[in-house]
Amino acid sequence: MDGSSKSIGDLPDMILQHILSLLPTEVAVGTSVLSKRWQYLWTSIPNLVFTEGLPAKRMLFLSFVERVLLLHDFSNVEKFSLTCDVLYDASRINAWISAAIRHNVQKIDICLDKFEEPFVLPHCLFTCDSLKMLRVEMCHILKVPSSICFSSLRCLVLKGVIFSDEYSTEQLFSGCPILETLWIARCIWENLKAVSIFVPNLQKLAIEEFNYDDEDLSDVNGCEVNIFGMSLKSFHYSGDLLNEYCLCNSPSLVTAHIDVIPSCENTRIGAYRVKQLLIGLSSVNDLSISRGAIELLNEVEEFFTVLPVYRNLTYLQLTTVPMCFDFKALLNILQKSPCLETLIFHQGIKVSPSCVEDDDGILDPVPSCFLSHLKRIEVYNFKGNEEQLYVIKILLKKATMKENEDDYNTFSETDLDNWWEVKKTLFLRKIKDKFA
Amino acid sequence: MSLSPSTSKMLSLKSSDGKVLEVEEHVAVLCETIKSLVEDGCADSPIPLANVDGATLGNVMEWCKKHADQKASADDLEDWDAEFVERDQGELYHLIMAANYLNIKGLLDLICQKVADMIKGKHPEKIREIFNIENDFTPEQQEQIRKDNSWAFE
Repeated sequence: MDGSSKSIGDLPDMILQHILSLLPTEVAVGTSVLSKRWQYLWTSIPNLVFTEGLPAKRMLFLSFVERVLLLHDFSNVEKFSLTCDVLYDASRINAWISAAIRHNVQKIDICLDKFEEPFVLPHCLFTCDSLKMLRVEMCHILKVPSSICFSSLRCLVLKGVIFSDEYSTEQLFSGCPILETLWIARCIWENLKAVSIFVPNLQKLAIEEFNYDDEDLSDVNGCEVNIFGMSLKSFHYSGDLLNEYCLCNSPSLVTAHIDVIPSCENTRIGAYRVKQLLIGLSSVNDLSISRGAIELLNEVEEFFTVLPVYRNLTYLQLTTVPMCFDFKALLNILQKSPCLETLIFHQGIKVSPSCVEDDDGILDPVPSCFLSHLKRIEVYNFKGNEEQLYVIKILLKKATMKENEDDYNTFSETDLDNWWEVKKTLFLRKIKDKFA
Repeated sequence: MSLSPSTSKMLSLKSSDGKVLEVEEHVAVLCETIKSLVEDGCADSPIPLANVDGATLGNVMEWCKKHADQKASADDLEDWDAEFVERDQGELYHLIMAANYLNIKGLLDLICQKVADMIKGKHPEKIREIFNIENDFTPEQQEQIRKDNSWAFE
């Protein structure tokens, strides 16, 4: 067969349609001018992706979307994606969304902005049987109908939405019986005081929140969000603790990532919210906590002393900025992690300014994992200054990690320049050299 | 059915132009079409692949081999794929047809994305030229299509 005689234009319609569906819809429709064969190829593409451009071209955009929805044969629409301003066209936009829903779309991705009139998503969206993935991004109140049933929805992403009240928010999540992945990003809970979310099938949950307005609304006003996710395996929190989140019953949780960037003035409330986050993580194997979370928690002893025992925890990673090793809250977590095998200081290690030269208070009492399970401590961003060597000296004095000559032999000086993998043998030798 | 590299046996694949290629089973089963033959126990003699020529089959198996390698990282694969799709249009055509026939979703998506990127940002005249498409519209018809879909031609 002569390879060079064939060109892309010879591909069968079905494949050309697949190719067109990988393009923004206006580019796909633009190919209708190529030839008579191409004129209506786009009318069967499975993905419809509309993104509004310049405000001055709005009328063109609106009539384009309508034309496409009229001419498309809807034989096989998988995805409907719409990014545009709403202005005074709420009913028009809702008609488009409804058209996609009527044709058994599986993924809907809507990102709406600039509302000039109250906006309510079409009710048929909330009972769509075919929908597997829904993403809604809008800085607008989310009004939901009284009856919600997303019977096929596996993935839900809510970005920027303002929850309207407790009851409807609880109804929304209860209406997703097989939901597996939930991402709540920068959503506003300020209309709610306390809410319970029941998501029995949820495997992955990510919450992200930041107060961009620089107003101090975080301290007392936050909502108490209790999440009941029996099947939850992975939990990710990233934010500044505007609200209180607690996993109430997640016995199969494996990994958790807590990235707190403290911004609220009231450290007591901040520390309480960190405690609430950590209290639900008792089953994790793999935990990553930011310095900000430990620092806040460290402020209020009565909160960190009530943390549960992390029986399954084998891998603990401390992130974002160098971790102060003398934080009592950190010691407390280490003492409650009897099976810890790996401890990682991802951005380095230090002692807080208040720490006295006397090391007796640090690592006292020595966490049991240091004497039994701990195999590995990794310190990244290691500069080898006096302060860091001091911490490492304490670590080595108190930890009985098994000596292993083989490991020592595999390390070269260049490795040490960039990051240190602490093995007792190695460090004792290095430190002896430094202090000699 | 679990097919690990250590237990993998060899399969013979016969191309449309009669070339026989010996391929490890765990590599060949990335093609869903071959996988179902193997699972049904119909993969003993050389498997005839009437729609794939020898050169294309070689390229397809090169891709499958790389993607069956459990040690390859995602970044590594991405770089490798980017280089893999740098081919002339005839080869891309045959790879798409083969990936479709052999039902290899990853490879089909990869090449289709490459072709989609070739369309993006290009003037229709340029697209006709590179894809060898004959313009069978009259100037009036063309003008009408542009007018009807003016947003697409902004």
